[in-house]
Amino acid sequence: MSDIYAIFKREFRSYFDSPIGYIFITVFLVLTGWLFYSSFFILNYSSLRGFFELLPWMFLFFVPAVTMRLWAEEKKLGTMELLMTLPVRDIDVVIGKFLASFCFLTLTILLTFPLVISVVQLGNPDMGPIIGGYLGAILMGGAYLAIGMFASSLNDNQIITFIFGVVICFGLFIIGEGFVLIRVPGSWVPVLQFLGIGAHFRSIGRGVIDSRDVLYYLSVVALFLFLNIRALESRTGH
Amino acid sequence: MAIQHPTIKSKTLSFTSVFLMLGILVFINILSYRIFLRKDLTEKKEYTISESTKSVLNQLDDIINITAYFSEDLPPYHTTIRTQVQDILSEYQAFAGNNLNIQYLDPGKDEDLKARIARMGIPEVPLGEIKRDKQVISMGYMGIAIQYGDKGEVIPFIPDIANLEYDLTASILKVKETSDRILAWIGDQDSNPQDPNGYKLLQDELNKNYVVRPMAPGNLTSIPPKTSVVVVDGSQALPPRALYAIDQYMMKNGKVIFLVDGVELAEGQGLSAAPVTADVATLLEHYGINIEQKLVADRRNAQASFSSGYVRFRLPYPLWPKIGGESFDQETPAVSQLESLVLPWTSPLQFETEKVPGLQKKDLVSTSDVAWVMEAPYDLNPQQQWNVTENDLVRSVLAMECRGNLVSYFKDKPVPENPEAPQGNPPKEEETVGSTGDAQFIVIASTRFVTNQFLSLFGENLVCFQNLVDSMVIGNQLIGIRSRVVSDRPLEFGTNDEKAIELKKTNHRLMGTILVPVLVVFIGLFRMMMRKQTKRKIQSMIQGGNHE
Repeated sequence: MSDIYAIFKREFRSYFDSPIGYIFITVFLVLTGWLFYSSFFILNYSSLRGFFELLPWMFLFFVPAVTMRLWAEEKKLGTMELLMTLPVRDIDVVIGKFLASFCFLTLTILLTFPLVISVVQLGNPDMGPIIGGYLGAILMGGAYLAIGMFASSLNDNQIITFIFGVVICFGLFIIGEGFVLIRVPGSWVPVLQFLGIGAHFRSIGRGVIDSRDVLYYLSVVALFLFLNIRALESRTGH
Repeated sequence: MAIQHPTIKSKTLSFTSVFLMLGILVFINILSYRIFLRKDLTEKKEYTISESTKSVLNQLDDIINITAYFSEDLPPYHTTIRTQVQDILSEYQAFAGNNLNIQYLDPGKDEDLKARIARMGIPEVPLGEIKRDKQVISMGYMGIAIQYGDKGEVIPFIPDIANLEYDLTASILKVKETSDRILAWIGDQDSNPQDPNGYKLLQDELNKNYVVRPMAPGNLTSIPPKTSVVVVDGSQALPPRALYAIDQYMMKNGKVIFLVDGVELAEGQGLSAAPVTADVATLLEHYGINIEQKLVADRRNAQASFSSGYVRFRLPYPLWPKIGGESFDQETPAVSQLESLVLPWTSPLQFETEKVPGLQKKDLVSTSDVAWVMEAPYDLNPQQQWNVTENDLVRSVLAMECRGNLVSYFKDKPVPENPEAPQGNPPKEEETVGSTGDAQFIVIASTRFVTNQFLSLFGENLVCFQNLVDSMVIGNQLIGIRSRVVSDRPLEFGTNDEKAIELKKTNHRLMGTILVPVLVVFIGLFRMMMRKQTKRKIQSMIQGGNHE
């Protein structure tokens, strides 16, 4: 546990020891705020639905950008070998790194709180979908992070790992979307719908916390972290 | 974590463990679909079956059969609806236990079954889907039949599940009833939904739960006692005999909803308004209720669309007060859960207690505190300057419910002539009922708010009217389900001043888009400065150490 915490601390601090973390947060907040307010006053409805509809698409690019450096940079800077010689287990390293990026992403999501202040001050929103939306966003972000970390472990080049991450996340996102579902045989629909990342986010975003949706995200996280550990082990020969 | 080269054996083990992990996760997820927990965080518990439905299901004392007819090979989009319907029906089953028998049937190629459900009123409907990059139409079933003994109700087609709970519960209540619920509509029978001033859309909706019987006021001599509720369209001319029929129906404890105007609108060269005394106002005045010949305006209002030459524009229109929140009586379930109601060109209602001492009145709907009234001649221009001082502001009652003792308007008066009585024969002696101890009626100061035009603009008006009708006939059982379907949460800027509104919008845009990022940048710069300072200190310490 102390190993995980040490790695978590080192990784989490690293986001704020370089300009990358600040640039990421700033760009994310400006872009989501600008896109949200461009339709908020036209729709004249006190809800954050517009913001939550944006998030799966924003995450497709932002989350792999957070994770692309997680392993690739270690390799580039030559610290990977150092990390591997330390008396820590692969699983601890993976979990520590994941938790750090997860907390960083959660912090970024929570910094959109001025949007909540806007809808509360200007109307009488139903807080259920807002709480659900944030919880769903954090869970979906966690799933994207696990995928992005796995992608980062596959190659030394950050650009390539970013593209890998985007492609896997995009694939898992669109398979459950309507424009794909209308083109597949009916018997595939329930399976693809279940596998799609966006459908579970929308389900929680309604304001309904369903154990099935939560378990789905936890499963995606567990699977990709496991694959990540395996990818590391294949390099180290464990 | 020593670096080694992977062997074939370790690779095989790795693949095996990945598949094992995948299998475990798939198994857990499949299991989670059988055992799961849900927490509905929405304010009105929109995604959980309501307390009203639970109460109806708990009170079932005999078996009701529900058969869902869904085709197996539905287009992909509609399979989602089938799953959602199954979820809802399983919740119904959980609360009704053995008193609900639910089964799912695919009519498939069974021609006998197809013919039987077609007779019941469930059609095979055309459903769109995309096959090989082409839009094709396939046929399928998506309906539900609810049966109790020899009585049955159907939901012919379920395009989505938004109203499914209401339709199911209403159908269960309906099949359990021993007789039809009859709603007498005293006014013209409307058949054209395009007529903006007609009531076709409302009557179609009411027909789902009631047998709506239009009664022409000119021929109205009496109202059958089996009638569950009467709606009086006050914009119609009501001859004395029709008024007598309504009064006597009330004296026999009949329930009535009066729609009445204090100001009449005329469309000629533009819209104009004039005071009006509706025929039914005479009756209502006797019952202690006056409709003032004034127009109500409110700073909390709906937007109206107007045309000026070739241009159409939308403006906030104070003569369409938008009722919300505390302006609904919070103790009356029929209105307490509503979020909005728009009453166009309405008038204030006054209640004279001394005239009807035994009658209890409840204000169902009022304006906001920032409303005022306009007297004749009325200026309806939406672009006028609404010059109102704080002294002009007054709260007006726009709908009220009365219950209790009532004396007949026709007590000790001659019975109006029956126009349908055969000529030449002496009229049959009719006995007037002089009073009742259990009168119940609702007065709404607008005949327009449920016309086709306003129902298509403001769907929440329909919910309000249906709730009021249901509360008089069925009770409050269905109200809780219907009210939560409609959710209107507009932005409120607390002012009608365009400049103040724009300023607020700009402030919120800046706060939401710029404020936090600027803070983040400052914190980043501050930390970088601090780190540089620390770095310099360390460097100077090292250099100092080296000199020594």
